[in-house]
Amino acid sequence: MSHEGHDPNGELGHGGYGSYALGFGLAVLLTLGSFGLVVEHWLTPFEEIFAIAGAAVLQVLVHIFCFLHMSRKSTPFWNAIIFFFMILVVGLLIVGSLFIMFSATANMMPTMPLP
Amino acid sequence: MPTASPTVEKPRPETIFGFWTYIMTDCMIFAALFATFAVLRTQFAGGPTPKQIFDLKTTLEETMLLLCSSASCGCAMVSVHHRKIPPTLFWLAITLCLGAGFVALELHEFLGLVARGAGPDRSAFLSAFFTLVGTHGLHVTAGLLWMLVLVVEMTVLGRGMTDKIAHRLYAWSLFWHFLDIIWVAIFTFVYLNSVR
Repeated sequence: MSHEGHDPNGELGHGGYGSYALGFGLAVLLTLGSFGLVVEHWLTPFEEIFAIAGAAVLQVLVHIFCFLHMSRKSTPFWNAIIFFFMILVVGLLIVGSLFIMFSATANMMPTMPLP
Repeated sequence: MPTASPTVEKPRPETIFGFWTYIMTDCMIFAALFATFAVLRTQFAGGPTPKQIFDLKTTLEETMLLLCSSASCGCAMVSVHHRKIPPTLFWLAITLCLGAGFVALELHEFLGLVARGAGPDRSAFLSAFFTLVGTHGLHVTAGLLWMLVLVVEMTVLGRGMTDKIAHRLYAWSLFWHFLDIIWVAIFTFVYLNSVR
């Protein structure tokens, strides 16, 4: 990836065609890998969920570094802070919702069979 | 640090920061919709299950269209960086076609589901599905309209590639890449995870 650090146009970060080609190649590989895993059943269902979740996280990182060009050099301090704040809120929302709703379901009284 | 050419004007840092903040808050909206879907994904109410209604071939086509449009958007931004109008318009046109193809495929998928009686009113699972994926589709449509407005500003209104328009195109490219990131989560956790 080519980073000029201090971009004369004041953009957060930018790259040449190289970083987009690299990002595109990696993203295609990860996408096809995920679809292949699910369609061809190469792994047990338990391993599969971790494999496709891992591929998704990797692909998001590829997009962030190769397409959005976030890096320590090019990303201003407050942009990075709000990015990590977003990660925190997103984590709380998703993990919290799932935790609350599944434990609510688990603690429900057994329902009476409908007549 | 190499001296910048005097004609290139920096965007005010708070402009980009403001737009960045908007994108981050949009992520939080999608997080809420993802959480809703995750909670409701098994509530079929006797209606169709994901295995019966999801076609992974369509999903893969949509994914590839959006991924290619993200790459061509990147190529457009390289041209914008060098303030070259013809290659910028060329790459933006490709991005537009790929993005419109994505929206058309998704509309076709949605209309097919509704016609089969698997509309958003059928079950909690389908309500959550249509809300999440539909919100993403609306964002993509808005992104296409925004890009068209910028192209019209550049060409029809004859403003050319001013710094102002370059900065707007840059903000638009952040938005476009962000939508592709959301789609990665959608095809993994909504489509693939539901049909395994």
